[in-house]
Amino acid sequence: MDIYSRFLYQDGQYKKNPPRIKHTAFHVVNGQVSVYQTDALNDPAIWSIATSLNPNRRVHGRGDVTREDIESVELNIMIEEPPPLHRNIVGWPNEELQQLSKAQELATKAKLILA
Amino acid sequence: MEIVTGKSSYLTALMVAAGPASSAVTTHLNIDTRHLEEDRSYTNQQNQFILLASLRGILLDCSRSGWDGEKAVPITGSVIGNAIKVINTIPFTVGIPDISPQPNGKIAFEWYLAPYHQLIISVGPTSDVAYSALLGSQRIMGWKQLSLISDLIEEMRAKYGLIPTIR
Repeated sequence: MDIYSRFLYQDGQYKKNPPRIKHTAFHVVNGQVSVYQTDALNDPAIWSIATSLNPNRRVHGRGDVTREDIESVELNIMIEEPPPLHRNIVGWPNEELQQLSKAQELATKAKLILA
Repeated sequence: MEIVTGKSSYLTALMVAAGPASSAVTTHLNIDTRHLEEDRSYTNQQNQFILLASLRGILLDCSRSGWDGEKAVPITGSVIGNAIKVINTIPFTVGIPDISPQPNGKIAFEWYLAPYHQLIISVGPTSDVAYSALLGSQRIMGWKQLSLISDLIEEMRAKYGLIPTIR
């Protein structure tokens, strides 16, 4: 199963109780949301990617979504390397309201994994 | 930290709205509602205090470009001003929302009851407020004028049960 991780660097992107990802974690920038394909990696390797992307910021956790999760909200995944394993979630509608709704639904499907 | 309490007009307003029956009942039962009024005033002010404290944190952390480490738009004073208007509209009888900054420079108010029972109200610098809700398999979304936000909150509470009522 393909798994894509969205790294979380801010408090406002998730809640610990009950554990969940907020829609703000999947906010669209320039028509895409940046993720990494992590199903072939172990946890230390995944966290090392997160740290290497933003060495000066604390990694709070990650939100994992599957390809099925992404496609179920009518979005797609696109390979965009380098860096290795980097992907973009694409296919977002142009209208802000539709983006908000899709981000909300995708966040609901995401699994929170704290660092 | 100081929370200032004061005499609230909420209960009085409710009793006035309920009409003479309300006064008759309280008189008959000899209920002293003054403490209740103060309790509710305290709760309301406490909730507002929590929300305003969250908002202050957002202002401090998110007022510059790229506050998310990427390309986030700064949260401006006008967005904070509109968020305060929303906070002042939230009645003390409903659960308090989570407040989060959005990378597009807006602020989200979120009531989350369950994965498919949740509401987001997104406030920006203009008078147009976006809302998006998941209600089972339903997707409810739209725009509302800031001046009508209390209608939206009441509709989401009463019609869809997306905002919890505190008793």
